[in-house]
Amino acid sequence: MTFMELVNQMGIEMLVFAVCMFFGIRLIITKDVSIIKKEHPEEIKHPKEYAFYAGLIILFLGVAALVMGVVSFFNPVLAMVIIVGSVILMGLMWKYIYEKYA
Amino acid sequence: MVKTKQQKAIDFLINNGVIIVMFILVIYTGITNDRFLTANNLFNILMNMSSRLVIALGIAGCVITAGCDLSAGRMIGFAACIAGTLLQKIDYSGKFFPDMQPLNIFVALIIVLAITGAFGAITGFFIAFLHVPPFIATLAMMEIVYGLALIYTGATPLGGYTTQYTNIATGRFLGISYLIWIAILVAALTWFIFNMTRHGKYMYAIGGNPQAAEVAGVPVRLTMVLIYMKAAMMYGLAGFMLGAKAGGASVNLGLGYEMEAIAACTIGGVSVTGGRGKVSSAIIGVAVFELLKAALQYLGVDANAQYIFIGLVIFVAISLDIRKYVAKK
Repeated sequence: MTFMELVNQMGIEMLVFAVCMFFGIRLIITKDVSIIKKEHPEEIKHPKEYAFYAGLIILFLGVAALVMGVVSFFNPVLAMVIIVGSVILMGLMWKYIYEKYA
Repeated sequence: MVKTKQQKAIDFLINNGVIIVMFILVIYTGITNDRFLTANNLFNILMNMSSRLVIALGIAGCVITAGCDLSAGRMIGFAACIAGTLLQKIDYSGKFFPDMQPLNIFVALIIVLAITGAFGAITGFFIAFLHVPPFIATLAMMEIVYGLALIYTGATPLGGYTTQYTNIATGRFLGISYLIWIAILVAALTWFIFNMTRHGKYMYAIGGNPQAAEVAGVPVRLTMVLIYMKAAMMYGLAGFMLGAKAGGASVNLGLGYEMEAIAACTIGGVSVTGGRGKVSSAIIGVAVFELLKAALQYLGVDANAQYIFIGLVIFVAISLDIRKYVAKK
């Protein structure tokens, strides 16, 4: 398989992975909550913790997208189950960190 | 501090710089190219605008609440594929459901709107109830919808639509294409929702300050779900229109349309920082954007270079919008 074929097959997943890496790593390193909450970031009670865990969750989504892309080569339905499960898990984790730190 | 007339004029020029530059470009193209400012070309531009306007009006609702919707493009592709599979001719050799009679277009449209609306409601639920930032929630939904579209169609391009379906793009009423009529109806309905309903007032209140809106008794969560559901239904309608216009569809239909729609809204005056924006803003933005694309084509600009130009416009438009926000602060 050539690089272009790979990009054609899982270009979207690679894009999502890159975007998630960018935002996730930025959040983890800078712990700047305004990256994801531009309006009224001061309302977050524990901004550093919130930013750190939000970064981790975004990284999780990025990795899930990449795994989905790889699995889709062998079993598209399983890939779909992985991404749906990951997104539900992401939502629940986000609710958890919001209630704990925001 | 009271601004002088000169300062006001400078602010006006800076804030509307993109629109002014684009109109100069359009006038220049009209002067240098005889075929640009013709009724036929303007009609074509209006046809192109129709589906883009429907998308922009959907995204405008999300942007007014300081959100965004990155799943729009994929939702459009999925909607076009669903409509396509339900509206193929019975004798078409590559028919997706070989034994199924093509549905009535209104039934197919309702199915498309219901499916995309359900996905929009799920996105809204993630944003409103699980507090996932709109950017992340819609990015995730984009991935899910794309995957579903691929599984559903098996990545097969669709074609062979019934004439009843393609007539939406080719047919006319009072000399105007049905596509344009649909866009006008959607714009009128959106104007009514934004300005005449409680939901519209809630939307602006949430965009201004969600905490204050909640304290004031606005059902923030329900309103957010409705906004994303309504937006997704509009993408569904846009996908339905684009499928009819193209006479075929694939999962890649609508790729990148969300960025153009957000940019069009911003150029027109819908603020990415929330709380501000009108239906007319989306109409102006889409018109300017489509005129720009047509002008670039007529000026003979290389197709790939057009992307660079459009990217620059998006960059400048959003930068100017943030400048306005910072100045206001």
